[in-house]
Amino acid sequence: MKFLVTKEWQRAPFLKMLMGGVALFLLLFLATDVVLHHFQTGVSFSRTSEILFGNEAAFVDPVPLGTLLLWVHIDLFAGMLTVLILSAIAIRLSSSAGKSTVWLHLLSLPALLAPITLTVAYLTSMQWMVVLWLGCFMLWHIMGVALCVVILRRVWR
Amino acid sequence: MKASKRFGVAIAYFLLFLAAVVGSGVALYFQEHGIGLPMRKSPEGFLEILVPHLFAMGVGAFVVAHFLLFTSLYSDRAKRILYGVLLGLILLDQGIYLWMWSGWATIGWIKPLAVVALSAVWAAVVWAVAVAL
Repeated sequence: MKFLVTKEWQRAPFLKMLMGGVALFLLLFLATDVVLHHFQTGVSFSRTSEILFGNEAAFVDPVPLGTLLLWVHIDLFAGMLTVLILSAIAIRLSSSAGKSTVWLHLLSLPALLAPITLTVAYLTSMQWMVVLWLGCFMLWHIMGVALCVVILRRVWR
Repeated sequence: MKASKRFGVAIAYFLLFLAAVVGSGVALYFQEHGIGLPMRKSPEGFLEILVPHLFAMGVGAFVVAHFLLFTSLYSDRAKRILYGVLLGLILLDQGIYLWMWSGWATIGWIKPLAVVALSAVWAAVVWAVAVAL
């Protein structure tokens, strides 16, 4: 418990292991989440458009609204915990002065906007919203993976 | 920027996420059931909703409410009442499924009111933390 007072996480091996462990599993989650979304919502413009809007030529119906809302609900919850845990650890590991919050916004904002843009794309049938969703989804996953790698490097150095 | 300020930014995003989760949950509920009696489900169907919500709402309530520990803006009594009401409404909101499952379908009429009341209390907790930031 000494680290709670001194803030010297480098001298608390179990705390380092805890942070490394959660970063490792969030890294695995983020990687497999992309694969899951490949099958679920699609992670390319053509596939996501087909899933959201259907394709008459291929006799593909649009995904039901209830299913989409369930995906969005789950994505928001998973994103919320992932972003909170990663950002809390990264802030604790970084030095206290002179650090920017750009990385924090680049992680959190797209994670929040991705499910919202997916819903808006579905409800409005706006094609560019699909592009926005793809951008947000990929950006927050890339930022999340990068942050996990940084955390792992710092705790295992 | 100091670490405490950066934690403030992270908490602000967390609150936005929580509001979006609650909003999408309310939309999902009313999209499926409308404003009347909830549809009957099989025991497995009830549990598929109940189990993840007991986990997610319990953890979510703890995480958002624990930020109130770090503020003296509200009295300890007010914090306990707010958290207690939130937990109580979560139990009511999710417990209705168990009562319906046991055969008392009429209780289902309370469900839409419970969903709205619980959402309002989530919003109140989010607001309380946001003001304290």
